[in-house]
Order: sequence, then C-alpha cells, then structure tokens
Amino acid sequence: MKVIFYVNAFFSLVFALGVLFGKNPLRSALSLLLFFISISLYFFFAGSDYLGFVQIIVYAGGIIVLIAFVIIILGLRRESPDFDISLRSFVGIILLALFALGVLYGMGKSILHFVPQSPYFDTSVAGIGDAIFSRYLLPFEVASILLLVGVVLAFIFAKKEV
Amino acid sequence: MNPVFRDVLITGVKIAIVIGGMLGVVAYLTLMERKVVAYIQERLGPNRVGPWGLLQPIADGIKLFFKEDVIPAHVDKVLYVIAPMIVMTMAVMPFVIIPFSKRFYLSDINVGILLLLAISGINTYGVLLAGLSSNSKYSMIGGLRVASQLISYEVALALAFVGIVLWSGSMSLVKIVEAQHTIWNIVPQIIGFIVFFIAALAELNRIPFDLPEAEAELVAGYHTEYSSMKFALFYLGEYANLTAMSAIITTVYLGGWQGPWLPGFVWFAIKMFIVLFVFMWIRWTYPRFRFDQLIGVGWKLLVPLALLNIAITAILRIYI
Repeated sequence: MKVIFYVNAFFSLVFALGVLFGKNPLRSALSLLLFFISISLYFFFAGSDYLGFVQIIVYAGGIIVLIAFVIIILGLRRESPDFDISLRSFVGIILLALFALGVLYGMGKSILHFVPQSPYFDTSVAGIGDAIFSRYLLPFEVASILLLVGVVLAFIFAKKEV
Repeated sequence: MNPVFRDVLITGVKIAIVIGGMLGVVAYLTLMERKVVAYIQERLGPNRVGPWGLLQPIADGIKLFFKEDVIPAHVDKVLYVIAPMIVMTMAVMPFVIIPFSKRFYLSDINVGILLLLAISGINTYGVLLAGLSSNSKYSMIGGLRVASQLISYEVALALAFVGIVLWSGSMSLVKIVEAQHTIWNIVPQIIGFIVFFIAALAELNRIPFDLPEAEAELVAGYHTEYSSMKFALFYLGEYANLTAMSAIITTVYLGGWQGPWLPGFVWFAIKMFIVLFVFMWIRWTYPRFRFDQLIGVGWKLLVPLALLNIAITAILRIYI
C-alpha cells in the first residue's frame, strides 16, 4: 500500500510538472487530467470512495473538457514558454519562493494541528449527506448561492442583451 | 493450494469470462445490427459468409487486421494512438460492477453508480482527443460536438441516477437489483427511465443524436483520419458502449437478473438483448437532430424532467 502511495505521489508530481512545462496546450490539459485522476487516488487511499469518484466526475469529467473546449476555440497553437529572466524578475522569483515557503510552513503547522480535531470521519455517502444537511448546512447553502451567482454572472457576461 | 493464489486465479477466470463473453457479444452485435436493419428495410442482410452470414464478423475482423495501418503525417502521434485505446478500455470498464446473476459479478463497490458516471466522464476524452489530435477540420468539428453533447447529456444521466439512488436507497448495483425484487424500477421511475434512455442515446452518439459523426456533413466525424485496427477499435468501442449501456439499463431499471423459472443469467441476457434491439430499432427509424435542437433538448427538456422525477421520487419515498 505504502509503495503504491509513493509511486502515485511521484506520478502526481510528474503530471503537475507536465502541465507547467508542456509546450503543447492540449498535452498540458491532458497531463492536468492525469494529475486530477492521480489526486483522486489519494481519496481512495484515505478510504473515501465517494470523494474519489466525485473528484474524477467533477474535475476530470467536467472541468478538463471545458478547458479542452477553450483550447479548441482559441486555436491549437504551440506556445513556447518565455524564460527571459531579467534582474527584476529574478528578485521577484526569489521573493515569491520565500513567500511560498512561508505559506507552506504555516499550512504544514496548521494541518498538523488541525487533522486530528476534524469532527467527521464518516466518509460514506450517507455520512456525507448527514454532515451536509445538519452540521454544515449553512456553509453548504452559502456555497450553493455562490455557485448560483457565478452562473448568473456567466450568463450576463456571455449574452450582450439579457 | 495457496488461498491467495486461488483467489487470484478465480478472479482472473471470472474476468476472462466477462471480457471474452462481452467481446463475443460485441462482435456479433455488428451482425445483429445489419440483420435488424435489413429486416426493417425489407432486405436480407449479410448471408454469404457461413450459414445465415454467421461468420461475417470474423471475416470483417480479419479484413480489418490485415489492412494497412496509416498514421497521417500531420497528426499529434501520441494522442492519436492513445485515443482509440481510451474508447475501448472505458467501454469495457462498466462490466466490472454489473451483476450478471445472483452470485456472478466481478466486484460490488458501495458507490457503483458514481463509478459508472466517472467512466462515462473519462470516455469523453477518447473521442475528444481523436478529434483534436487528428488535425483535420472534420475531426475537429466532430470532437467539438462530442464534447458539448456528452457534457450536456451527462447532467441528465446523473440526475436520472439520483432518482434511482433515492428509490433504492443504495448506490451499489447489487443492492439496487435486490431492491427491485417486488417491482422493477421502471414502474415507479418511469419519468427517470425516459430521461435516462434519451440521454443514453445521446451518450452513445447514436441516431437521432449522432451529430459527432454525421456522415452527411462531417465525412466520419472524429474518426475520419483513422484506419485499420485503430478504426476498428472505435467501431468496437461504440458497440461495447452500447452493450454496456444496455446492461446498465437492464440492471438499474429492468430488475437485472431477477425473473421467474429461468436462471438469473438467462433473464439478464434476454432483457439486455431486448434493450439492444430497441436501440437498433430507434437508430433505423428516426432522422438526425439539428445541433441546436440537440443541446436544447438536453438542457431545456431532459434536465427539468429529471429534476421533476427527483422531486416526485422524494415525495413518494416519504409518504409511501
């Protein structure tokens, strides 16, 4: 089990780097797809089949198709990433790296403290439904209203006359 | 014998039976389709190769094997080769969780319905990548149409599944079949069944929703540039998807292996072939939709109907 986990972690990294450094936008989208599938494997390892499959359905099945759509509509050009580093951007990169390290350190600390206190471990479908409709009802509804606002806004942007 | 080894052996034999049986069914579906269309159009259909044309699929297979495998110079080679593999693999996957009889199934996972949705989500990429990697305008438009069509109809399909899950109280296919002991799901879920069936037609790219490969406008759509065995994989994948979808409909709506007198496996096969026949019947009866009509039907008719079905099911579950 542990070996599979580390192999999967390695491949997640490879696919994530493939997204960043791929020259062909379509292949980048494809490695993003593989990256999402490997992420879903973590959920399976954690014993939550439900979240794993939802991850595949929503991200792999929905979002990447939309990304592929955008690539088709904007044209399949080969983009060469621009690595022309000047002094100013060099300083910027260093500052960004320091900032990222700080964020990672903070996150690592808070996650280490946070995980054992997480109140729900029941990750079955019934357990998640229970959590959504009782304890986390308010955040769930707020999130759904946020999504609804997003949908309405998308319509307003897409259509010139509403 | 070592128990681990024995388990692996048994599972391996089961997988071989399922895959082999399914590929056999798929090969002979091509013959069945041609026989059915011949019957509908009052002609004889293939009858030269073997008695009643029974060896026709084998002859077709051999022909496709020995054709030259052309990879056009202008394609994205890696994606071009991967695409038909994705189609065929994802078409076989649903059989992992379908219960063929009371005891014979490969695996029973408690979120089986979600697995089916995930598979159909990944399945989109096979045709989409074929369309995009071919670098030809017909393939490109075919791929574009596939993407929008599958995305639209997956929503209706998933919402129809929600009705089933509410009614049966489980996402495991084995439990869903057992819950249909007294009455098949098609009766209380008739609206859901209609939505599911129409959405399934669209997911399978069959007439009246076969716009991704509309030969009148797009030559052959996303597989225009494919030849030989790669073309055959698309063709077989299409029929494997058809078989899988019929098996899913049988399991989820028609009571699966349940039925009197005959053994479960026989009932499953009978029901599955009736569904397959209805799919073929529709294909050779109706003309093709226009593309805006297709998207309109998906979002403005099927999705509201599926939501209505969920509301009705929820009310029935509470008060009955």
